[in-house]
Amino acid sequence: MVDNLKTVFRLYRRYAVMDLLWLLRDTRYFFIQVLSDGISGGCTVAGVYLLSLNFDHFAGMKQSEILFMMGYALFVDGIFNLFFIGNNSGFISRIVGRGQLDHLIIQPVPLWAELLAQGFSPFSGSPLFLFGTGLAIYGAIKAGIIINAVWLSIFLFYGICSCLLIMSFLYIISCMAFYAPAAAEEISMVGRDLFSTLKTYPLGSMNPVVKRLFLTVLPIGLSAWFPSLLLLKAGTEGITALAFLPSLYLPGVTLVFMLTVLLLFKKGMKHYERYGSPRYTGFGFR
Amino acid sequence: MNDMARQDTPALVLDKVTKEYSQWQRSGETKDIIRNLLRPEKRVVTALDQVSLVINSGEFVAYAGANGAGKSTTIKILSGILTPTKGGVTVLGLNPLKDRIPLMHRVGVLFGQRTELWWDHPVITSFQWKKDVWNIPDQVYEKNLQMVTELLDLPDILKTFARELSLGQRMRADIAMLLLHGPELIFLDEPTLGLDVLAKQQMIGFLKKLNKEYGTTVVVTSHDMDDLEEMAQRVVFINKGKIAFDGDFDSLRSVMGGFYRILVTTQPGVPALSLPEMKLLHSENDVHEYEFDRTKVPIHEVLGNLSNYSQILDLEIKKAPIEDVVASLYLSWKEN
Repeated sequence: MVDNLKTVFRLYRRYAVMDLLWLLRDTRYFFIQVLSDGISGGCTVAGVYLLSLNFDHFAGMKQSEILFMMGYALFVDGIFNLFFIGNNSGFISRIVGRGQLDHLIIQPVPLWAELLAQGFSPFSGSPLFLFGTGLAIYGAIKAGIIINAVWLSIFLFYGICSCLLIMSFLYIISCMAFYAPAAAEEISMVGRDLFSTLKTYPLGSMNPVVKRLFLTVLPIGLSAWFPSLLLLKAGTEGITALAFLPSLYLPGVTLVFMLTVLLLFKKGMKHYERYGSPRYTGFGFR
Repeated sequence: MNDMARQDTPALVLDKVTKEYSQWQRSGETKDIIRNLLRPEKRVVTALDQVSLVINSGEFVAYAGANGAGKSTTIKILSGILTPTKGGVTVLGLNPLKDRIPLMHRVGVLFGQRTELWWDHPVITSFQWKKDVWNIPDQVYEKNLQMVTELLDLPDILKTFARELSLGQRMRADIAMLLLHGPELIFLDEPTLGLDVLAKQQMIGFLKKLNKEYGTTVVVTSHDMDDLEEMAQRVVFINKGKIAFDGDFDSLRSVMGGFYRILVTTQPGVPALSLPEMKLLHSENDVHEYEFDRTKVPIHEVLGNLSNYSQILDLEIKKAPIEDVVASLYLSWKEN
């Protein structure tokens, strides 16, 4: 295990260097990218802020609380971009559907280590993370949250859990690409869009059945709304105000989703080893 | 002791390996839509059928066959990408599926139509990436980098983005990257595909040198039989999932008879000569090409027959092109 961790850190270091080299490959491209990231991030923040202005007391949340929730959602997207945006790492259905797992299998490292590390883009993928962090902190201050080390740790922990939950969900649906590679090649993009469009919607006044659905099998509510409520409570009333079971719900569901990924991905890999990439499978010929 | 054991272990062993795929069948008729949905028809394709093969360390083996014969499937099984339906596989004494990680430290795999280079980076960055992923010690990396840079003439392209390389340059860079960790055994799937004459010659020369001077075992697949003959000492032919031939190229020729070609140049205006047991292939500009089977008509007899004709200005005898031998072989397999 220690060797595997060493491998992961070695790979993280290499991919970080490659990301920096890629970002700085050309002065003109670099400035265009910085400018476009700046415009895109600025628009996202402005859009979120303007939306929050119109949704004061919407679904039981105050404007500042909605702003915080949206900042949290951006922060989660930022973690995703930072760690999984490179080389289709977060869009695993593309790798599976296009038969690119072959390239990973011939590398002498555990498959999980390569998949975990190859998306690391700490330079080109960081703008959204910075904007998200900034907006979440601003929203937290506006919402009257007392920011301290403990609250920041929980914020970071929940943020990572939400990101891993999204990743797990994407991996689960992407496992279809093992069986129908051409048809499911883009399914992880569809899954990501589902979270992008719905996760900042407060579920407070929603139909209980839909709410339950969004907090369990289709965990959109766990990627922003639910953890934001907990963080708002912990930040304004103190950590002790958090009930034990609800505070463990997000990490618990994340764990269940991750274990499901492990199971389904292993099963998918068995299928891949048996039938290979699209060539000989029905619907998969390219 | 370990080295002794390694030398005694064959580079690879396929023991009665069978690989089957199921292929969905569709009639293409609208009346069959419901049946296709509810009870889809499947056909079992046997890519490899009880294939047994041993390749020893230091060999240079051409693995040949027509399209869909099972060449790439074999390479994928040997690389641990696919699992056989039946049978056993060991590569350098290891099980490719179970011992994938230690095995990949010792072998190199290159699929000719794909690249392992990072597209948006200069070639040297891909090499450094390889160093980290394979965890190649500094000394080994520097030594091998120097070796491949010299032998494959890389100085000009090391700093070039992979996306800007020509196909020949890209293949050279890919082969170089493949060798950075000093593999004992390399699998090359169609390494000469699409290369121009010069690039092909460079590639073939390099692979031969690698095998001869560094003792690297090479297993190479290609459609181009001339290339394979120039490179390898042994050829394994696969047809319909079975090994149809295993031996050297001369023996391969004799399978289809000992066919030779003879080019006869005559004085201007002399029609093609009628020669016993010799088949006229074509005549152009007073040069007539014949084919004969050496096992039926000995060469001295052919020369004796030709010596009767004073109109002959020049003669050239050569072996039948391997491509033609293989084409006849394919045809005979198809007919059988």
